[in-house]
Amino acid sequence: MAKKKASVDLSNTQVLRPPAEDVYRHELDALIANDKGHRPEHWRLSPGAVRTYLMGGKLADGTIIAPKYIGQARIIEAAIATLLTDRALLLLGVPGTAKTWVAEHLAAAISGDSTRLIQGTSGLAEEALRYSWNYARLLQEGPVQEALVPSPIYHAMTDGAIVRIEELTRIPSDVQDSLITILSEKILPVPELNSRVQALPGFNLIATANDRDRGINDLSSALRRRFNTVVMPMPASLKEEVQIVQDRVRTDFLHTMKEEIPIPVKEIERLVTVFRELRSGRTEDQQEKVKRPSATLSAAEAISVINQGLAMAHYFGSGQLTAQDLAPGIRQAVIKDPSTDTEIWMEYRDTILKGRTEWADLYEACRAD
Amino acid sequence: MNPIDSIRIYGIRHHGPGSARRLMEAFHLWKPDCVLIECPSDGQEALDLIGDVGLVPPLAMLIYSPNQPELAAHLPFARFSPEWLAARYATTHHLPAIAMDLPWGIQTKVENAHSSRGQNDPFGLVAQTMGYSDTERWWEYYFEQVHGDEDLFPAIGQLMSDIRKEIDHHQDAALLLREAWMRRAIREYKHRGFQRIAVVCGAYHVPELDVKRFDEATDQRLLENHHPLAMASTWVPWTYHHLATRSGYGAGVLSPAWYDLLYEHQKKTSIHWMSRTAQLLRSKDLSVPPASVPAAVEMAEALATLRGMHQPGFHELEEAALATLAYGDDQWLEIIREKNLIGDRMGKVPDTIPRTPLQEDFHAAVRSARLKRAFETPDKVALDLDLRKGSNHVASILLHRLQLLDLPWGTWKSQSDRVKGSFRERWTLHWKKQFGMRLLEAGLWGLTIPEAVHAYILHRANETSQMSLISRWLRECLLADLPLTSTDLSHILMDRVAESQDIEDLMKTLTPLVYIHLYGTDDRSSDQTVPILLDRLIIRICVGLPGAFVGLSDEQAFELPGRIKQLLMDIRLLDRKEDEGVIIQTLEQVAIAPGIHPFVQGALTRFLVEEGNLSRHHFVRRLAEYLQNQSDLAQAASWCSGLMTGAEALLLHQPDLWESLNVWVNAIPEEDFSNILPLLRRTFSGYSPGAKRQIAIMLHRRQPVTINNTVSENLLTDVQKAVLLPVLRRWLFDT
Repeated sequence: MAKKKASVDLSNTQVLRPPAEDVYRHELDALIANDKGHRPEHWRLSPGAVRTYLMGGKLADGTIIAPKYIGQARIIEAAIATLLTDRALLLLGVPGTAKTWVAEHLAAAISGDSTRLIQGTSGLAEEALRYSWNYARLLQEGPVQEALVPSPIYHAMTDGAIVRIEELTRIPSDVQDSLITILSEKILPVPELNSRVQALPGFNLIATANDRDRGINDLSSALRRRFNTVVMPMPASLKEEVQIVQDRVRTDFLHTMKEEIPIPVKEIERLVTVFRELRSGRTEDQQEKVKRPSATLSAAEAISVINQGLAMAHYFGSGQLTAQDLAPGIRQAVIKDPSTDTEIWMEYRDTILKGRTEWADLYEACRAD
Repeated sequence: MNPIDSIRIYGIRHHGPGSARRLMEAFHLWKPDCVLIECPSDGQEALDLIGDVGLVPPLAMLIYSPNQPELAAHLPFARFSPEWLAARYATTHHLPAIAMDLPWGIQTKVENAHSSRGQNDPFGLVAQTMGYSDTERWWEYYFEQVHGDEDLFPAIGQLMSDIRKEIDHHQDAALLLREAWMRRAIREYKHRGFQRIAVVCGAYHVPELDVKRFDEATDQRLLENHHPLAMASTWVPWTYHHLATRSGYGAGVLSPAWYDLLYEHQKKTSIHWMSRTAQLLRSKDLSVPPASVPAAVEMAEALATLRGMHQPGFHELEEAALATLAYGDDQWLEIIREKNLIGDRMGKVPDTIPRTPLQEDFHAAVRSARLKRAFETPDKVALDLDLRKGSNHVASILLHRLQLLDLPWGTWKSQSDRVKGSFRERWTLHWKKQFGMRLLEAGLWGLTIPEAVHAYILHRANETSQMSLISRWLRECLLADLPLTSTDLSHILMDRVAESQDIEDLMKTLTPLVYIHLYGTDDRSSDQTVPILLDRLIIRICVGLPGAFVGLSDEQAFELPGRIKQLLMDIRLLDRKEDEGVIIQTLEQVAIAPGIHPFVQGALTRFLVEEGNLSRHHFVRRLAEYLQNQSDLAQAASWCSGLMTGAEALLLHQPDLWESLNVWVNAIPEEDFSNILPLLRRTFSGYSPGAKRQIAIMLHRRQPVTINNTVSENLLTDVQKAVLLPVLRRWLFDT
């Protein structure tokens, strides 16, 4: 008994972050049991059930499915519909829009396995997309099937499953282009073995990319049209975004602190408001328009400004996060291109911030900064 | 079908192409001998004109009271509207087409008549219970797109009678009256002996128009005390844009262009729509490979399946087009919506159709402004208006209003007269044929001139990205005595002031506002907003001014100094010392900063001298240093040109300046001189004849010095003398 308990504990404690299909196994099993819709070949769920898995809901047998994506259903529907077609799916968006999260859950729901993953980097070689060789065996046995080391894409083709590529646009363009044959012909030639891999139905690819990153390798037009692009929107409401920032600040930063630090809810709210206003070009009350700087100002950046501010306050300041701790972070986040953004920021500061009487401390801090 | 077979009731959806198609199929099978249409009976006059081939939808039937224009109603019709097709069917088959609804002349008097349409949405309930977020989509899936032989009209009738049982209408006086009136009309045409009466009405009314179920005497009692106001009706051109934004009478349509396509192509609508969208995107320079079109249709179909629909609706098509053709970039979505969902079709109305209220209003205004004679002559007429006189003031207001309506009957001679407090305005009037057409088209914006101007200008203001245009219209609106419009315009300006990127546009925006602020208006509301607007504008200009000098083309550089001068004048008129200081400081920095267009720097240097911000001593030093150090002659010439343009006074009264320039010009080698000659000519030709003459006198006086000493024989060759001196003489005396 004790032994069994130990083994369960082992699986729970040793893995820092188990894949989606393990965490939500009971939900996926319940969805399979209740699924009456038509399932495309090699799909573990019908498209409708995949949507339920992502958006949440209650099944016929009473199982509650937790929402994985909080936002518009049409985004998820467009993603699922793309995977039903001949084209691959490109999830595009700024950091903090849940691209990876959605991709992982789609793969878990459709193929029951979200672990076929390639992380795009600027140093990625073509072999990582296709296949590589076990050189010991290659030298000993020559080019035989057993010496070949398949890539996740190779596996996905033979299994009829979903494969994911993270940060597609970080991969050098010429390496990216080796995806073209795979996506259009659904074939991966292996000239060394004089053979080829033909994808089974159910094979498809989900790529994520960051569209506001500078210096990325943009997709060639030939590759681009093998993808349907779904742009992941920013959080729709202030409340939603404040919640996201709070949760992440709690998990990323505060738990590293020895003593208990309260979450600076008021400062998060103000910061997220400033970011949202500059991002959308309108004040939250919709009354006034403001100019938009070139910076992304995503939830992810708000998180880093808060974390930086907290660190400043904790190590060098009063311990309490104040406007003075935030002001430099805000300026750094907003002014990405000094030639245009400086003016935009000054204008926002002198018209909008100045006008909010209860924000006087923040205005003064930004002016002094 | 309906139990009484001599009457068939066709429940349609207003502007539903599917309804229209099924209605026409039903008509061709049953061959009615009389068609009753849900349309206010005082619109009969217009309905009788529907056979005119010159009428091209989209159109609006306009029912109006000649005495109270505010009581008018616009009833839009598209070529896919079932009512339109029913009426056209009747006229082509020589059958009576009867407007059977309660006259608009009663409807306007009944309380809540308007609210009874838009607000209660019984279909909304059904759509919601069936899991559709909006009624439009639900109706589209079930009734517009389904294409089969099954006759849907009885099913629609049944559905509506179930819905109507659930709703208590006894509070809705207008609805009860309308339906009683329509029943009376049906009975009347039955009594007249028609054998196959087709009743075309909104599906909602179907159960209540079954005359057998209602007592004739009760209906009669309900209607007896209502007497209609006298109304007239005619047709006005309409647009799909209006159809989409204003619902008018009955249900509006969100996507006329899509319905138009559904009507035109009954099959393969998705492919047609997607190809059109691909073409649209290509015309905007987005590369859309042909292979993407089927891929997009495939995705739309997958989306439709996922959402449990037979065929993709426009939402699915739009989302698929975005993901597949437009690479997810939603700036294209606006364009797609504008063109392929709303559309830009515009209707036509021939001259033979009776005058619209706007035309009537125009002619009345012409009479009261005593401009009838000017209107009737084909020639140009000059007009000198003294605004203190009643009829002259009226004429001025009318002419300004017409300007705003893009009907430039009059050209305003001296724009500055009025603002300087004079009571005179000089106009030249010239009526052109096309203005008549324009007046007719403008009818879609309103029934009276002020109303039409208001709607039209606000529409344009919302479309344009140039703030300076709006500010010009704002000033024009005050001259045109349209206080409400100016209030709205100033609010739009408020909204825009933060987001305009274009510093030049901001400067242009300032000038009319300064005039409004200083020379005023009796209008209170704009008195409040204008100062705030000025504040915002000036902050923006002060912050953004350095940006105005970066990266200028030659043309832009030539125009900028004038703009800056105007800006300084505007700021000075407002007496804003602090902002003036900021601006001067910016100009001082820009005048010597590297990388700025030399023409602009020259001009700025002169401003600074003229404004007294640069002492004479410093100025001469700067001039000499600049000319000496500048190795690029074209740059130096451009700088001088900027300095000297419009600077007669400076040249005449600053001997040092004269001297420095003289030394510089004399040192230029011959071949280089001819290169910069056009630029110099351009600089000096703008001087006034008086100034040129004075310069010539000074030249003459100084001649011994210049020619004999500085420009000695070896500097000025014979050729130069022969070429240069006549040229100089011509510039100076050429007026």
